[in-house]
Amino acid sequence: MNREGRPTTRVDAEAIIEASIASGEAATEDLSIDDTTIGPPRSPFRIAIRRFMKHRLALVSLVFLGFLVLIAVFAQIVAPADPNAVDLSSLRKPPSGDHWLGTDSAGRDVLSRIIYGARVSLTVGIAAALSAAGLGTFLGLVAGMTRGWVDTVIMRIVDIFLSFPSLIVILLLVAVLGPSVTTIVVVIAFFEWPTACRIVRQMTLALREHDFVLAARASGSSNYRIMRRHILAGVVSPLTVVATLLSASAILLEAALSFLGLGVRQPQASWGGMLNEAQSITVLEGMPWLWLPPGIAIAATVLAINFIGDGLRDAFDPRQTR
Amino acid sequence: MLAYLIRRLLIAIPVLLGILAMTFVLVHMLPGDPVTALLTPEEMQGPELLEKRRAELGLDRPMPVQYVAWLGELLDGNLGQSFHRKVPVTEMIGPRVMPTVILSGSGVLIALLFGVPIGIAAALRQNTKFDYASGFGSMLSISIPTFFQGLIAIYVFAIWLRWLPSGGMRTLGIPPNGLDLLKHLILPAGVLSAVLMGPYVRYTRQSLLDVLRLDHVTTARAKGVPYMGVILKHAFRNSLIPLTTVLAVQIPALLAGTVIIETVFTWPGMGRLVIEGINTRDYPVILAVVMITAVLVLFFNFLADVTAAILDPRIRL
Repeated sequence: MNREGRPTTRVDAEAIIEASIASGEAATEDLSIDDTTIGPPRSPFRIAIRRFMKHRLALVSLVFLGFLVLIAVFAQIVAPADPNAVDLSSLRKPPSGDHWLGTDSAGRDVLSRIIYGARVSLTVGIAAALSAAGLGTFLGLVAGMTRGWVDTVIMRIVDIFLSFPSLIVILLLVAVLGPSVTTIVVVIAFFEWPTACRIVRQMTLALREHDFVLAARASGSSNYRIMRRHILAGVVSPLTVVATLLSASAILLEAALSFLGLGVRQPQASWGGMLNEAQSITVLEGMPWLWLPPGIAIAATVLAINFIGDGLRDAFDPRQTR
Repeated sequence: MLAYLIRRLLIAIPVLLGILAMTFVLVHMLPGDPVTALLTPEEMQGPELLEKRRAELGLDRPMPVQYVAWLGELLDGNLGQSFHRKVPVTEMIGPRVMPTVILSGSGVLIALLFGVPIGIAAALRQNTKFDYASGFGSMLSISIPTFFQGLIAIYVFAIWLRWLPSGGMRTLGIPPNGLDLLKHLILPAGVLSAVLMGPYVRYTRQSLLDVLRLDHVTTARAKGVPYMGVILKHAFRNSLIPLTTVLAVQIPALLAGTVIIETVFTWPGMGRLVIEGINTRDYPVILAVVMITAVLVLFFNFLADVTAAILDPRIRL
């Protein structure tokens, strides 16, 4: 919920930190518990994959998301019509054989706009989450490895960012800089990195106390090498969970921006923008094909991403036996 | 305890100054010259006059000096002038505070009243149908966009069933009264609480599960404390600590929720003011709201830390 979108990430973030630290400490002992079958040698990564496969909802979600990515990539082939083709002879027509999901106020095919809208949502979700996670990881590693005043400064900056109502600042910046997919991605990433930063720092602080780091140091590894070889590897698993949740909240943010009329520019199709047109009572009451499909599309996509996030967290968390 | 309080305060001060500095930077990033906004058309004739007004307002001084002067103005309660309506920002925000407080207050209250018990029940019945159902429900609450939940609520309760009004804060033409306000409040507050409930359920459940695993709970059970007594006295009290933090951390999210919900339900609060400000490019108003929220978040975070320290003596160390 949003910040549109925000609550998920922030609430879960704390849980992830705890779970990940526990997994860091208990990784070696606990991971073998649920492996009773005899098979090839198991790395923690393989065990995580096996646990993820057992999480049925997450698996279904992954298939759904893969399907969605394919649709977005091959939109030109899949879409029955040009999403921007205006047809003044059929305005706001209900679903029919020609237009499976009807037409909008400019006579454009709703289904095609939904299919093309997937591009915007997925691009924003993936790009914003990756940039936010990247920036957060970098600063979190630096804070955790150097400690001292650098750490203090970075963590205070994180506090400052987390205090801001990001939706409003993002609205403001997008209004000032001009709405485009790039601006939206950059602005969202700029305000969403602190969650990732906190978790990576916590993980780094926990990991650096392990004996293997001491061993690496004794054998002459530099700070940089330790960071790259040992800390980063340990940070990756909780980071995937964070990145998943970040992409869910980025998609929700983009949808909220477009819904408020500040998202991608018209006529480019986006799910939130399609709902923006549904704010009138007449559309709500008499033309459900204009507002139900884009709303369901956003909800289903975010739901799938969140289930995958849940599945990943369970897979990486040795405390859970489910 | 005192030492802990002082330490927390010392951490909060640079964060507060940082929040203010960032707001200040945002103010200066914005397009539009505040001087031209203050001038009458006749005064705008010559550039000399513009420069003179500029000097009068102190806008020719270096940025750090301006920042300090700006801080001084803030302390006097001056949040700037609205570009659009040419009145002090405080005058525009003032009447919007109460509606937002009513909406978000009742939203949080409903969400807590339902979310916490559901979370507790889910934790106590871990891996049962009830647990899965509440988990799925909270996942829906997190995943369905706020505005879509709002549109569905309007469709079902205002258009289809015709039980409740679809927007606004009171019926036009009749004098404002409590019952009328309540009728208008139910839908927006209900949607806001639906949005907030998911995280509350998840957090209550997780933190109670964490506490139930601890030794002192086992000990209490072993020495014969009744089951509900263990839950309420030993487990629930400890699981409250993370919950207070969640409440504080969620304030920006709460505000984001009210921005959307106030737009969908045409509720005349601060969230709508922000959207109106964005549409009319009235940046000082938006920045004032942003700053007030950020300072509030900082304050509530501090409060949550203090509460946590009272509930858990270990934190004070």
